[in-house]
Amino acid sequence: MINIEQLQQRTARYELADGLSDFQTAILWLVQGVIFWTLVDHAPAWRNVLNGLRDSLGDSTGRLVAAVIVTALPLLALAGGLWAMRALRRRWLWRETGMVTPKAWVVPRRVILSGLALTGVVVVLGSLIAIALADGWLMLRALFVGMSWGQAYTLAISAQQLDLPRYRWLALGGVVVPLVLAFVPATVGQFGLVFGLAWTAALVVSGMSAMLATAALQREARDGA
Amino acid sequence: MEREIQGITGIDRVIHEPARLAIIAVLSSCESADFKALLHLTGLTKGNLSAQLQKLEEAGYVGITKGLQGRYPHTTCALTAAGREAFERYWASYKALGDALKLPPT
Repeated sequence: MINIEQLQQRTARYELADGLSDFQTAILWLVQGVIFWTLVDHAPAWRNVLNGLRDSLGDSTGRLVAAVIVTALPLLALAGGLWAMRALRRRWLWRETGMVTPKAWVVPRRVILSGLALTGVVVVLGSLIAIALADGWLMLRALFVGMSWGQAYTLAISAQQLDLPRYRWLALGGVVVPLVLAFVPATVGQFGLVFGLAWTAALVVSGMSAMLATAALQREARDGA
Repeated sequence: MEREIQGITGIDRVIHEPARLAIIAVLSSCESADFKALLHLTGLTKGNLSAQLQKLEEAGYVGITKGLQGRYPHTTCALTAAGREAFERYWASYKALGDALKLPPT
């Protein structure tokens, strides 16, 4: 007797099982952290860049180009990551076990929306506390804690639905570590950078462990063929 | 007899065959999968997988695209809209039957 649900779960997990999506998310956290850090803690440097662009391109075009640079970097990282993922899978990771094109939403849309809602709730609560304490920076700290908890929620549900134990550990870390980091004395820019680096490190370790397991599976499949 | 069984349970006999059910279960959880992936995920032999895919294609449940990847032939399979609907109907009937008979879900 075949276990239909297990087969469906295994297929849905295929996209996340090789760890490449972890690397992709890690790159996004890294880019986001670095951009936040340079924007907040190195504002004069950005002002110089903006002034340079405005001088050479004019006021509105200069501002537009600066905005495009800031938004295009994460998008470029995402597109480059997707291209690299496809190439790596075709040539190495899925060479023996075949290609699967996942559904548009590997993690159900309502889970991602719930994660975003959780982020929003934490940010609003943090903002209210920040207003009460007259501490503007607390609002930005709440943004990163909220983003981490939103991501942790998505990972926890994915771990449960797709039976991915490594995501359980990531989710646990994503809840606990921000609570500790929130009280670390640092500038807001450094805070954003530390968050980006912490998520990047955790996701790289998770992705690497999954990738090694997938590579071993490919070797087994090749040797067994 | 087969029609009577189908009438009682609403079970689609094309899908109910275990090898075809495995293929459809895999394809229902993704946009498409190539022949190698289907071999890996279902554990079927090449010959059996080819034969069952042909039957599913004839029933209009699976679309098969043949092309080249580099210099090698590459076959990609995906559920058609009719296949997806048929599997949803099958799964609902199967669950209902399981509930009625109090069978553990598979």
